[in-house]
Amino acid sequence: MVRQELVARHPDGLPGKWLTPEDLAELDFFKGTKRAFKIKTATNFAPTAGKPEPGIKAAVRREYQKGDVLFHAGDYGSTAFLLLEGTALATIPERAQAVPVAGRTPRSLDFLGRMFGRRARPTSGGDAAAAGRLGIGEVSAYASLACEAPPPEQLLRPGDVFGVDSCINFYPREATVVAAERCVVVEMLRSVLDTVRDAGSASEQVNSRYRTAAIRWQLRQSGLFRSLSEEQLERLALASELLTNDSEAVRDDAIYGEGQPADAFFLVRSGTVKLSQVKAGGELIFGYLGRGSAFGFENLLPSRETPPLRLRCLSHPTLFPELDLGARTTFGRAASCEVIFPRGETGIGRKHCKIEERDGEFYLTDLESVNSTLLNGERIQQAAITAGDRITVVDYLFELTRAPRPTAAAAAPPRFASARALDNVEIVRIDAASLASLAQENPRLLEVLTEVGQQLEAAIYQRTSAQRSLDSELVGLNLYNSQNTLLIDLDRCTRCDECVKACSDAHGGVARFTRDGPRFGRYLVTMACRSCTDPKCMIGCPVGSIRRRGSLEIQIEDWCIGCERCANQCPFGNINMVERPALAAAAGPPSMQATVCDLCAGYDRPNCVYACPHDAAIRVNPSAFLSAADLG
Amino acid sequence: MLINSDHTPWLAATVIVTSAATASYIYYVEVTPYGPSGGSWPGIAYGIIGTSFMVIAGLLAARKKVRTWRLGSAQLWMKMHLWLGLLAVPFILFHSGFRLGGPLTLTLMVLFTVVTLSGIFGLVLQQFLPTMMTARVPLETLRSQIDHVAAGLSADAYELVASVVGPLAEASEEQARLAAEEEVQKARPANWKQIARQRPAATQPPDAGPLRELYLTEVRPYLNRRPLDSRPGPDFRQLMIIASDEWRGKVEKLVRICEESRQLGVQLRLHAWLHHWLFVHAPLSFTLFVLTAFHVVLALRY
Amino acid sequence: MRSSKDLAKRLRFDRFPALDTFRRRFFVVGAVAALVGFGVWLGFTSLFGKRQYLPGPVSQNHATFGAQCENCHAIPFASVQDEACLHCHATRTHSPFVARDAACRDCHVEHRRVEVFLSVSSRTCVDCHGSLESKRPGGPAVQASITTFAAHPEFTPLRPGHHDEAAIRFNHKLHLTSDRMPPEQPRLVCASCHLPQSDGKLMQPIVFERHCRRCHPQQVPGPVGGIEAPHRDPAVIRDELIARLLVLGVDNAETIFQGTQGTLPGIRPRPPIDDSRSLREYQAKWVEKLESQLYAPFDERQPLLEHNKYCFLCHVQEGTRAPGELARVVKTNIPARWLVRGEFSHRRHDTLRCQVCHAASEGSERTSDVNLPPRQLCQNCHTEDATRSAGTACMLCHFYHDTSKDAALRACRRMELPLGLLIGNELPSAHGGPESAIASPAPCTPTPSELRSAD
Repeated sequence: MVRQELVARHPDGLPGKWLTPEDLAELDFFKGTKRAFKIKTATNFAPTAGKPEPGIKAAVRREYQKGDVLFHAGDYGSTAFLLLEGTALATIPERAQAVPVAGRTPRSLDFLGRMFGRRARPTSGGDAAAAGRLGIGEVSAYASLACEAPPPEQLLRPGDVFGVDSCINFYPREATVVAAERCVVVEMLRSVLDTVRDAGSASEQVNSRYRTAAIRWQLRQSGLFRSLSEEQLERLALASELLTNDSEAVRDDAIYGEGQPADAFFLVRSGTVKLSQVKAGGELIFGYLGRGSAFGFENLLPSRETPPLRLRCLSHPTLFPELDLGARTTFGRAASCEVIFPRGETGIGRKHCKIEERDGEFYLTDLESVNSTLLNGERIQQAAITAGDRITVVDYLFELTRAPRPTAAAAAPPRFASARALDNVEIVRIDAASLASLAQENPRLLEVLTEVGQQLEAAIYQRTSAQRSLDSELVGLNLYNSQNTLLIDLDRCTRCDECVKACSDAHGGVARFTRDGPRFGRYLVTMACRSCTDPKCMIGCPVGSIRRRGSLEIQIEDWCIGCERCANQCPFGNINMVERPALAAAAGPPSMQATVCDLCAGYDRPNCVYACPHDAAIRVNPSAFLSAADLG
Repeated sequence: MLINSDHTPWLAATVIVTSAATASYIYYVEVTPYGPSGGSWPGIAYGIIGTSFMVIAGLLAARKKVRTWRLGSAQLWMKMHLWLGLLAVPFILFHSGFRLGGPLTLTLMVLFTVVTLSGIFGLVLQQFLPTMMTARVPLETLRSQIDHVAAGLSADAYELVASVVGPLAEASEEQARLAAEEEVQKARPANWKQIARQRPAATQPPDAGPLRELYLTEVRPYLNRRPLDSRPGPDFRQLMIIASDEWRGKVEKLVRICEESRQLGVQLRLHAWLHHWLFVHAPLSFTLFVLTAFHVVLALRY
Repeated sequence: MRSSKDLAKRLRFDRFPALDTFRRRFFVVGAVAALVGFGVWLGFTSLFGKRQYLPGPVSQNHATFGAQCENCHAIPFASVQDEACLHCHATRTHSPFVARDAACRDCHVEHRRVEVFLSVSSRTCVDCHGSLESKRPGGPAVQASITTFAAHPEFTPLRPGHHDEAAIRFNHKLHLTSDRMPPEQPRLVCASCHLPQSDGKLMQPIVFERHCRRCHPQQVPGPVGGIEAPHRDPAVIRDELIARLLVLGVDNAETIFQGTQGTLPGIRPRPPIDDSRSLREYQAKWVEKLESQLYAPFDERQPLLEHNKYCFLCHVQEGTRAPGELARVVKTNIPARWLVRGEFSHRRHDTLRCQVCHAASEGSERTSDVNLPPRQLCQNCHTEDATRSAGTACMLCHFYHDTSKDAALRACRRMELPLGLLIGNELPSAHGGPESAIASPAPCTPTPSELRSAD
């Protein structure tokens, strides 16, 4: 699709004035970048033949009136904004937006009424506010929490740079920005922003501002801290730092190791973190946490270790002291037992019964005794026992209670599992002591943290082994990052290639995906763009032609210069270089261009799925789908 | 298409329509003095309905030419093709009054039967062949790329063996392919599609004679066999026993390469089963349509 | 597990989406197949011509122009019209009161089996006669709903209120059981008087000379011997009497007019029998005398034969006769054919004895008795049970086309159709089969008005 559009899509379609390198050089913000821009002039700012405007609009100056919306939270965007004049307000929506995904086509009883509806309106990210389907690692936005007060607005002033997160990480916009009065902004593509971050004199400013803003926005966006006042939030922000893979605290992508003292609490801002334990037989992976998740609750929650059961004899308290049950407790007259009965009790066997601990549960087993063992008055062969149960061995009555918790909390309890960054991460690290003191001040915060921590436990630590191995496979295929990809059910696919033909029909004769790829059960994960949450392909595009415009799909604009960087960086080989027929374009057109699946953005739904006669092609969020699917 | 519960509404509709048609046919047969005839009004009605079902079913081929037009999804069309095609059978039978008629109508009936049966045959195949292919060919690739991939496997095998025993003049095609690949890769060094190839060894180790021999006598001919069939590859057990630690790993890779080649042969065979029935079904349906057109016009004319 | 990037390295991506060999071959084969279809049609056209479109064979009758479809299918995209049939076949009507006109093709269906064309299914009859609409004022003349033979109404002569209205006196029982028969024929049987016509269908009419005269000669005593009165009109009888009297008078003049004068001993002289002065007087006198005997009115006294010797033993006199007048005889109006609307063939039933159907005649003493079998009797053999029936097709007895108005048809020799052909079981043979009655000119179906023409 050869379309040259505005740099960012505005709902009201405001035009702007295209800026040249000279224009930019006049701004303080861009000081020191002139040389860098010079290199990029030919590509970033080259005018089209015969037209006054530059062909590639890498930077544009816009004006907004009071009340105009610059962008909505949840929109996709690939640009950053520099506020030149005026003020704007940034607000965070109540719930974190989940990424909209295209699901399976409905049961096709849609009759031929929908004829010739070739080009319907494109999918937009903003309306999918209610779509809550989340993939692996995305913990829902703590929906059980009631929002105490509407989140505060943040004032943006001239000289502030905002929207950087989306520009760099390609996540949907975090906040809604509205002009508070007449504003003038410079909207720039990533290639322009990178120039400033790398080489400009403003780079340090931009980077540190980014870090500061990132921490604060993340704290606000996470529902955990809604109950804090502004002042408390600020204190918390000051006690936090932004960790990336390059940070000193993160060595070899390890955030913390198992057994280390738990001295911090973490929020995942982008990327994926793996929680695991190393056992003798291998690595036991508990789960993967993605953007929006929190982890490191050890210092806030009671110890995960199950307090042991305590055995008390009711009938003969003097004969048997209280005993904390260990892995194995044997009852009998033999001297090797842990609970030894007097030798004169002939009714009790040498080894009468035993209590074993297995997987955190305790089990009472009768060892073929003559006079049997009673649990709560009933004869049993083997049964699970818990606090409150009573065991009777002939004339002896025992009771089980929970050992009391250690009263003094450890200064820093050990980490239950190790946390490791799987890819490029940005993590907000909050000092545990500050958080604890805040929690004492604000009981609501403690409540929230406890509740969320328990939810997290349930979600992560109590996953079954089947679920865990599934997660591992998904990670092995890098599917945890993917938001929407084409899966083919191999039990239905007759290998007729209709999907490929439809794709090429819809894209001018070049198919955008390959009907081959790794397999997951009976599903084939095709080599079609997976709409990753943090797309590697977009990093470093010299002309900013690969981007997300306003919705999930990745587009490569026609000003791609064929440098192959995106193709090389895609971990799955989903971007292909294709020869572009020589069209009229000035100054030596590139002969190769990158192509990628664009989710059939100009159509009402993807053509591959539409054209499969055997109902074998589906477009889903792979990790969510495959976790729940019957893999045959 | 896999027949599953998605088809229930279509199956129900088909059963209902067939029952209604059968009931009306029985009544018609009872009532007409001289027995059913294609030219009577009910006979013509059956004929029109049956033919229109056939035509709609046949439009599937045309639909596939304009895949991206929103005329109803491919799944809808496939289900329509299937069920309307089946529904046409009773209607055409009723239209004919279960009589074969003259030469033209006899030919039509024969063609119709063959087309329908071949379609059902293909449908039956589609119920289990895809699963079979998935199970038997884990190393499946694209049908149109099998030649390329198979040649790639030959080149891989040569690369492995040459890295032990040195260059082999007999393997000229493989050498040419590797050389061409190297040229392309040199032209675009930054491109990610670089495959790092091992260079041929300078000298052959003394114990690698059997490897060279097996490669030249069995492995290479096997990998280069055309047409690709599914016979098992060469037996590497002897070689594995006498292989030295140096190059045993490469023999294991050779085993995998031969296994992949065998699987490609299996894929070809299963693919043929899955698709070649179409060469009967579709062309004969065109013949059927041409002759049906003649029949419709001329039977009505007379 | 092979990653997708590894896979991507092995494939070539410069071919999207070239038409692969399968699709190319497919296109070629498809085009060839369509052409083959066209070729098949051409082949059929050259081999069979238009006969390739036949839905079934043309019947034998029409086989001569089997491939010239336009002979019947003259109008494109329309059914066969009656005009096409009438090119060769004469117009045939059914009834002037037909409310729903049937076209030829409604009953005569071509393109079934070779022999099916001529057999008309009873269902087509029932199509109209199942619920008959008639333009006849006063409604249809036949029962409005006849669907099967079981539902067929009673034959008209046998319906209540119907009698044999013939003006003749005849007692079947008497004749069949009489003991006054001559020794050479001690008993009369049905076939003594009732013989079938040469076409075997109906019985020959009773003819006095053949069937009655031998026992009932009309011999009146004349002057000398007897004079047999011919079985003719009274006027003719009179003429005959006069002539015969003259002859007798001439031949026996002496005996009649002179008498005998004792020519031999012991022989008394006889007086003359007649003393008329003139021949004319003689004739007139004797005619009157004879006629008064002949035309003696019917005497009811039993036994009838004793008291009634001549004409009015059987015939009915009209009015009275004054002496000298000619008697007037009521026209007998003996029906020559009882079942008017249907065809009956005695020959087809000649395996049955007369009494099986005409049992009534053995006890019939009155002329007014109708000695025909009721329809129920027919149903004993012509049952609805298809496996053992002699057939219940309408066409067995009834004929659709009314040929009464068509003189040409009436005059023609009507080939009797073999039964098998009527019900579609047999092929018509070239010469009409052994049962055809080409030889003798059989009258075509008589009209109702002609029915009473016999004697």
